[in-house]
Amino acid sequence: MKGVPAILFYSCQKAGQLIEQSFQEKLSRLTRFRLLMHTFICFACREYEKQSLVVEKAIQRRMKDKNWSVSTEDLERLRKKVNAKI
Amino acid sequence: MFYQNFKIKPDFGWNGFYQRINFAVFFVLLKTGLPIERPEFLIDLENKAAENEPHRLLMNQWVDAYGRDLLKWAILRVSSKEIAEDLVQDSLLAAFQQLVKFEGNSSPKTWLMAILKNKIADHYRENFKKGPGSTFQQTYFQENDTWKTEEMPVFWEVNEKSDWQHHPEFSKVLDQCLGNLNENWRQVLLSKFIDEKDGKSICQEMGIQPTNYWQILHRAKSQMRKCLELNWFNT
Repeated sequence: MKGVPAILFYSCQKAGQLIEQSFQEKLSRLTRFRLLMHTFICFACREYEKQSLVVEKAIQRRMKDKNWSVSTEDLERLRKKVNAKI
Repeated sequence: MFYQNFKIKPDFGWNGFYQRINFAVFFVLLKTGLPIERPEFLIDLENKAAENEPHRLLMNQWVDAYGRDLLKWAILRVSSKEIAEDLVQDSLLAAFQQLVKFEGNSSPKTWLMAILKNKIADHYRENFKKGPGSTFQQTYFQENDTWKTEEMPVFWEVNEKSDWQHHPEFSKVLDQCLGNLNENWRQVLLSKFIDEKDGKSICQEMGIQPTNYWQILHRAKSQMRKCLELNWFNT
């Protein structure tokens, strides 16, 4: 892309990165406008935004369900290893 | 018989026999402490061990007191339990060597935590150097940074009301997709959910640039998206 369209629109890859950023931070007005212009034309990036949120929610649920426990056996193994090397 | 011709008879040497007996006698004398010259390296080792004894006791106390928390903290940040154990072990050993520098200004737990943080940052820095970067561009995007037609996100039929997220098979698929990711990408993706952190602190922890962080998130997400699309949504 060259000339005016390059100023107005982002490429799909750049737009994807900015979409990720917009979930966590507030973008500047100009960037928001340019992103809006991009998503206005690009069907794929509009879909990407929705699906990215879906993936994020799914991962969040999974992480809550998961059990991250440390058993006493692990601790014993750690102590043995450390004692052997000191 | 025929096989007797090939039988190999081990020959007995008196020299070897005496040598073995000499070694045995030397060992017994060494153990029982009878008057015999102790080698210097043994004396050095014993002195060192005696010097380190209080440190060693302290380290054991620390492992009892803080080991569980350290391990838990590391497991959340690293892909597998084994790597977490290795990192904790490394940081404990590093702490043992720097024990002289520790002045008791902060509690030992925060001190150990700081060392562990550094170790984890180093671990990721090494891996980020190794990681391949250019393949993503080629698989998902054309030369002018637009989506390839096969890889374009297509419409998913997502029912908000139905309970598909709690479906046991879905969590299996999700785990598989997460497993297929590059280790660093996975960690960047998951670290957001561990304790609700913002981008800046994650960047600091992993030792990456902010622009690089968004890029990695985008890459990981689009790979996850494709994987879920193939295995769950459009089957």
